[in-house]
Order: sequence, then structure tokens, then C-alpha cells
Amino acid sequence: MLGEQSITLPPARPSAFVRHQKLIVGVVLIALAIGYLITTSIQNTAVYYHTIPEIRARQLGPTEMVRVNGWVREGTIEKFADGSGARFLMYDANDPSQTMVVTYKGLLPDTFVDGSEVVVEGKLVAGGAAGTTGRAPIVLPNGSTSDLQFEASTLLAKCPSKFEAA
Amino acid sequence: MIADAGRAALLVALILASYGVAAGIFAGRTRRDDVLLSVRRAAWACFALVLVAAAALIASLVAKDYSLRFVALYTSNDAPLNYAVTSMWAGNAGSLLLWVVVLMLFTSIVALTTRHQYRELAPYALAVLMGVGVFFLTMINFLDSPFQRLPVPPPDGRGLNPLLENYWMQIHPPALYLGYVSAAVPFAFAVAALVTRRLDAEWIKGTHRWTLLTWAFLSLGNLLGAKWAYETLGWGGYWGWDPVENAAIMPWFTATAFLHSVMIQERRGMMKVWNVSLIVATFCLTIFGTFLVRSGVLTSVHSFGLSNLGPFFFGFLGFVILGSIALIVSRLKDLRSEATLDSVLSRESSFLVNNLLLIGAAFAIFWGTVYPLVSEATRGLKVTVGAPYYDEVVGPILLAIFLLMGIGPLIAWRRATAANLVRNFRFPIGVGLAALLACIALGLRQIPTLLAAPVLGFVLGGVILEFARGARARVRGFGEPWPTAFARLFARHPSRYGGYLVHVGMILIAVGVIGSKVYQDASEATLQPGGSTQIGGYTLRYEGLNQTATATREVNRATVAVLSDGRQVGTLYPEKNFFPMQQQPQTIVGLRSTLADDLYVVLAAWQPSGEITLKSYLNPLVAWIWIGGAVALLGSLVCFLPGPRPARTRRTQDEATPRSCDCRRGPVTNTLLLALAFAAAAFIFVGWPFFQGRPRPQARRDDALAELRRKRDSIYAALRELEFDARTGKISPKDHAELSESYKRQAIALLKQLDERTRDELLAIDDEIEREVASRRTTTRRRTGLRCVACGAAMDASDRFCRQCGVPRSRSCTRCGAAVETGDRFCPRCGAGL
Ligand code: HEM
Repeated sequence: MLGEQSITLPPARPSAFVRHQKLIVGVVLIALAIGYLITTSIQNTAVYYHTIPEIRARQLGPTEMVRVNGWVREGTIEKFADGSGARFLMYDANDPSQTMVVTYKGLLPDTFVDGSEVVVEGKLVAGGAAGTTGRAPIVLPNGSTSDLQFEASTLLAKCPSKFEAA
Repeated sequence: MIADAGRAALLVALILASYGVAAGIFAGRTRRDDVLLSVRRAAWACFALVLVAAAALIASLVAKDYSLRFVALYTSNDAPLNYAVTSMWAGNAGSLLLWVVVLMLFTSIVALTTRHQYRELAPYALAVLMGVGVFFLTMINFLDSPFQRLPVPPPDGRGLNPLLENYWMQIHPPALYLGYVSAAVPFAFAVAALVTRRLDAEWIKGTHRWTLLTWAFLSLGNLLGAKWAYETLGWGGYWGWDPVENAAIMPWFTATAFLHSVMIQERRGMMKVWNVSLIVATFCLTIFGTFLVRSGVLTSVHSFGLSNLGPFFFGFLGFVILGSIALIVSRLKDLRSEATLDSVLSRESSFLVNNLLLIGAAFAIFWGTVYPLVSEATRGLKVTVGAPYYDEVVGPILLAIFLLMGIGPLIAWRRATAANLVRNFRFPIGVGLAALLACIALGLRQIPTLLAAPVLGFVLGGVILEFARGARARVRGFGEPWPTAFARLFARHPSRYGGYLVHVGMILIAVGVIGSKVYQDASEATLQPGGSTQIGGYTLRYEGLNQTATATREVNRATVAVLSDGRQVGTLYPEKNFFPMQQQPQTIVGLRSTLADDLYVVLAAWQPSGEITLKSYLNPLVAWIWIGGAVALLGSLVCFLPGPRPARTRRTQDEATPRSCDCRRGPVTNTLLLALAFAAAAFIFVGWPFFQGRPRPQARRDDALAELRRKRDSIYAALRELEFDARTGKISPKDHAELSESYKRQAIALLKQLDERTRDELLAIDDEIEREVASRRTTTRRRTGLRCVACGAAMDASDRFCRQCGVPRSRSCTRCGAAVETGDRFCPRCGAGL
């Protein structure tokens, strides 16, 4: 501001860095704290995001949580009578022959219908590169099944109407 | 036919917007007022045209014109009128059109309100806004047009997804768009200020007010979105950290940061680069948000499907970011700080930390949102983070923000002293401790509560203290009764006390969020009619299932009585419906909301036997989120109080209403003819200023003067504030004297400069008057017909007196006797009045 330099600032000031030492230290500390918070939290909560072929190829630990993206095969949804969840066949967007049986426990979102795009998060209970367990594969009511068996704890379905059909 | 009008209007709007960009830049460079007027008119015409297009789309939706792809996709024969209208924003193309309408609305307002101010900024600001318009108009003209035709119109439309047939869905997208789009205005002014290097108090003042508007709309949009999610998605929560939600909250954080740091610039002329960057960031984040919903790059519940717009958006975003950075770097010299920080313990540095935290929160959210893309690009593995990440990171940052929100307002500008701190912090700390003890006494001993309670109490205590002291100062100083004093606080210091009101709103929201996150209770039960289940202190008794079916909808509605202490306090009707045509289930939540808690009941499943499964949630204190939101919005309205009222938006579109036309012609010809008609009307309207003849260039000498005046006003404001702070005891007498002294000296220096300027100005004006008089004289003399001094009647050269009024034609001065001309009112020799 006009005249201010000469009036409020005493002559021969130390350099900006020295003057604002405390402030700069504070700013750097806060930035570091936020950075630390972000990196540790990502390490603790990150989940791999795979497609069905990737799941098949990867060595998954029996408790490792993953997120898988795919589509609901038409006519395969089997809703549990007590409303506690559903089972369905999910297929890969690029290679529809790649499938996996998903068992989901939880409230079904309204957007979850035949043919909707879904993202499930959970763990693999049978099949895959690790070849886990000898559990008999679940067969869906319409007879379809897959060697990959997945237990999902969350299910996200995309709103199909907003989806602009080709 | 209607659709043709829409198509034509969009095409001409694109041409006009492109013209607006070019002409705006030209007007800025040449400072020609006729060009500028033409740009303004282009903005108004553009607004009129996109309104026509929107009206055409809505009319097609209401008329169920299934020859349009958009109409066939998003409405159906049985859609009620209001949903036929709101299906405009159910699909990508229509919602982009809504975007453009809102953008042009704001552009028109800017064109209207800059007629008498922001002379130099207006042309560039309008050019930038029109440029954003060009981008969106290109998309809806060529890439995804809402007026695209279907070769064979279906007999019925696919219909709006029943999930979108919701009250909140009708108002939430437009509200969010108002927030998104209004961020373009501060951006446009920032670019204009950078281009013209007029980075002074003027643009920052206007930008501050617009950003308040942006902030309010963004808050409203986010609140309504949360409300929508809560009432319709049926998972018992209101915020899921979905990418689209994140995209909407990030610009809110950066806008909040700007609202605080701009105060430092207004008071002290510091942090200019930072403020410009915040504006640019806010704008880019709104574009990013608009893009995210459409791109399909991230999985979200809200997104429109994959579309081909991704690269286009990305290009635009890249252009904006790189262009802004280049512009800022090239203007670094003009953005130099006018002052430096006096002390670490000051309002300025508290705002600095506030900004750091708000930006930190925005960055953490951004990083989490794009992490899948980042990890895929860097490690070849797609990794995602979910709600726990955001809770873990944003939670602590928000806690720190609240702590600072308590500290900041209590410390003085420039320098706070220890005595000052003790004096100001006693009461708020007391309130914080009381809140902590109250929570412990009530048995609420979870860590988040124990951390948040004292902080929120502290903030609240600070606000109470501020209000009390302010009102007391008025009561003592002006002898006003308490209620008047209280009300006048808002009127006299709207920005300050409105801001505090916003802070109170934030406290209430925090209370609601913590209550519902930490103390949520959920239960699931399968019940026969007459059976009951418990949740919290409530008993839910299942009375029966009511099933009805129509061709379009099967309704299953359970009746659930809510009992508390054996007494029935309400009845809930959760529904699980099915739309056979769209094969779409629909959940309607049974919700009982009180100030203490929300009972949220979902019908998870039903059997033909009448057995049902109920999933119920008890969400304590959720209502306070909405109440807090309302308080915050009220507060931002108060902040908006001073200054001129928001501009009216007159509709200037008669020239652009559709003409009647022979409808048997093919659509292409129709579109062409209509486009020609629109173009002709627009051409005349926009080109009109050029046929008016060149107006005389405006004298712009007053710019520097105006800037000095603004600086003077800002020092006066600072002084007033300082007096007020002293009266409320926020600042020590010694500091007060010192600061007051320094402000006064600055004011005097400024006043001196102003005086000099004004004197120059007056001399210049004198010169101009003299020149004018001289030239008038010569022309009058040269003219054959002389005119009477008194009445203006024509006179002959031989006349000595006017024939009309008798006043003598030429006289001699009464004082010195010199000969005086007819037109003179003062004696040219001695200056005596005649
Ligand atoms: C989520 C957090 C916050 C929100 C949403 C928020 C919002 C606002 C708003 C909208 C205003 C009015 C600004 C205007 O008139 O243009 C305001 C004023 C203010 N805020 Fe905040 N704020 C937040 C956090 C903070 C923090 C952390 C501080 C601490 C430094 C702070 C200190 C202030 C002060 C001192 C004012 C009044 C300034 C004056 O005297 O005019 N705020 N706040």
C-alpha cells in the first residue's frame, strides 16, 4: 500500500526467510503431517481393483480384499428370500466368457438389476491361481456356475437408466 | 419443428459465442465502447438463444416427441408433467444444455452489471465466459446433441428411471450446477485482471462477492445431494465418498479457502498469487466435476455412462490449467505483495494455516479420487481407496480446521499479544471444557466425541463471545437496546457476523455428522404380522403388508408402528416397489425424523405369506446437518448484504423467439431456415452498436483515481474495524494506539495523493472546458444565424436587441467597461458576472 513501506516497515529488515522462520516451519510441519496422513492411510485402506481375468491370474491370499468390476449376467440373480443378499454370475466387460459367482450379503441397492454394471468388494473363496479350498462350486438356479467363487461385502451398482444405451 | 428451432438456436448461439470471444478481446485491446456494447448484446442474445433451445427441449419432452433420441430415452407416455420437465437433466446432453443455460444467465448478468464498473476488465471477462460457452456449445452441437433424431420413433419412451423420480432429484442437479457454473465468473474476472494487469482492489472486491455466491450454491447443491442420497438410496447414510460426491465437495473447499485468504488481500494486499491460483483451482475443479460424471474413468453410482466426451474435456481442462499458469507466471511482477507478515500470532497467519488445511483436505480428497488412475499409470496396478481412507484423513484435518475456526476470529489482525490471548480465550476454553465434561457425564466416551466436543464447544464459545462483545459495544457506545444492537451487528458488519453464522452452521453440521457416524445403530429382523423388533429405545411393530399393482408399478407397503416406552409415537410406511417395464426395483424409506434422532426403516424383503425383513437404522442427530446447512446458507446471505442488489435479468429475447414456419419442409431445411432467421435477428441486435456511429472515446483518466479512492475506503474500513475491536476489547490499548496511528498516517498519505490527483484532474477539466468554450465560440461566430443569449431565438446581424425577449445582443462589462460578446456570461477581461 502506498506509503506503507516507508512508514510501517523498520529499515534494514532481515531476509524474508529469517523473518518468517517460525511460520515457514509451521507450514512445512502441517504439510508434512497431511502428507503422512495421506500416505499411511492409503497403505492401510487401499484395495486392488481388478478385472476377472486378473483375479484368475493373480495369487490372492485367502483374506485379501479386492475390488472387481464387471457386469451382471442376465437371468442369474438369485435373491435370498429373507432379503439378506443375493448371488449372481458376474462377467468381464471385455471378455464375457470370463465369469465368477458372487455371493453378496447385505442390502441390495435398487440399481442392482439384470445387466447392470457392478463393482464388488470382498475376497475370493475358491478358484484362481492360488487354487484355494476344495469347496464345491456354487451352482446358480439357472445352472450357470464358475470355478471362481467370490464373497462380496460391498456391492456398488451403476444406475442403468443414466447409462446411455448404444 | 420445435426441435428444429432448438437445433438452430444452439447453432447460432455457438456462432455468437465465438464472435463474443473475438470481439471481447478486440474491445479489450482497442477500448472501443461500441464493440464492447456489441459483446454485451452477444451475451444477451446467446442467453436468449439457449433459453429457446432449453424451452424447445422441454416442450419436446412434454409433447413426448419420440423422434428425438433424448426424449425417447428419458421420458414415457405415463410420465407426469413435472418429471417430463426434469428429465432434461437425467441425461448427458440435456444436462449439458442446462449447464450452458446457467452459464449464459451468469454471463448476461455480468454483461449487465459491468456497464458502469469494471470498464477495463469487462471485455476480457466476457470473452472468457463466452469462451467457456463455446466449449460447451460445441459439445452439444456436434458431439452429443439433445436434438439428435431417431430414424424410427418408438411408440413409447424408455422412461425416466424411477430412481430419479424423486423430489430432491428435481432440484439438486440445478442447484449444484448453479454452484459449478458460477465459479466461471470469478475465474473470468481473474483472467481479465491478469491480462490487463489491473490486479488491484477493484477486481478482488467483485470477485469476492461472486465467490460468496458460488460458495452458497455449492453448499446448497452438496446439501441437497446428501439429502437425496439419504432419503432415496436406502443405505442409511448421506455421504459415501463416491467420486462424484468428492468432485462436488472439492471446489467447495477451495472456494472456502479463497473466501478467507481474500480477506488478507483486501486488508493487506498480500497473497495475490495464491488468491488467483485458488480461483483458477476452483474453476478447474468444477470442470473436472462436470467431466467426471460423464467420463466413465471412475466408477461411481451417479455417473452417466461412458461417453465420447472424455478427451474433449481433458483437452479443455489442460488448456485452462496451462493457460492460467502461463498467465500467472507472466504477471508475477504485478502480483507482488504490498506488505509482509508482521507476526506469527496474527489473524493473517491464522488464515494462512486455515488455507493450508482447507487445501490439504481438498487435496486428500482429490488424491483418493484419482488414486486408481495414478496407481495404474505409475505401477500398472489399479488400486482404490474407499470411505475408510477419507474418514481417516479428512476427519483429523477437519478437526484441525475447527480448532482454528475457534482461534482465528479471536486474534487480532497484524499482531496478537499474550494478554490479548488470555483475555479472549478464557470464555471459549471454558465452554469447550464444559462441553467435554457434559459428554463424559452423559456417558459419551468414544474417542471422536471426546476430541470433537471440546473443539466445537470452543468454537461456539468464541462466536458467542464475539456476538456478546459486539452487541455490548453498541449498547454502551450508542445506547441501543440489546436486540437492536444485536440486529445492527449484522447490518453494520455483515461479512464478519455473517461469517460467524456460517461457522455456527458448520458446528451444527459437525454435531450431526459425529452423532450419526459414531452412534448409528442398525438392526435387521424378519417379522410376521404383529411381530416386533427393537432398535435404540424404540420398538417397531409390524402391522401388515399392503400390496397393490398397476400396469406400471407394483407397490408393497408395510405398516410399521413406532413405539417408545410402550406409547405409539408414529407410523412408518417403508415400501419395496417394482416397475415391471423397466425391470427396476425401488425402495422407499420409512423415515421418522426428530431433533434427537432419525428412525430409518427399509423393507429389505417380503414374502407372499406376509412375512417381511426389516432393516432399520437409528441415526442420532442427523436433523442437525440440515439445520446447520440452513444456518450456514443464511449466514452466507448475510455476508452478501451490502452493496447493490443483485442485477435483474431482463429477458432480451423477443428477437429470438421462433418464427412460425412451414412445417412440411424437412428437418434440415427447417433447421437451416430457422438458423438463418435467428442469425439475422442476432446479427441486427449484436451489430446495432456499430451502426450508431462511433461514440466519443470515454475519458478513462479516472481509473487511477478510483483505485486511490478504493484504497482510501479500505483504510477507512480497517480503521473502523480497529475502533470496533478496541471497543470490544479484542486488542490491547497499546496496540490499538500504534495500529491506529499507522493506519491514520497511511490514510493521510493517501489523501494527499488523492488531493494532488484531484487537483490535476480539476486543472485538466478546466483546460477541457476552456477548449470547449473556445471551439463553441468560433463555431457560433462562424454561423450566420446569431442566437439570443437569454432565450436562444435566432437574431439578425443587425439586431441590437433580441426580438423575442429584448435582451441586448452585445454589451459592455458593467465593471471594467470592456466590450462583451453576445454569448459571454462573464467578462473576458475582469471575470465579473454579467
Ligand atoms: C469449513 C470451514 C469453514 C467455513 C465453511 C467457513 C466459512 C466462512 C464464510 C462463508 C465466511 C464469510 C466470508 C465472507 O464474508 O466473505 C467466513 C468468515 C470468517 N471465517 Fe470462516 N469458515 C471456515 C473455517 C474457518 C477457519 C478455520 C477460520 C480460522 C482462521 C475462519 C475464520 C473466519 C473469520 C475470522 C471470518 C470473519 C472475517 C471477518 O471479520 O469478516 N474460518 N467463514
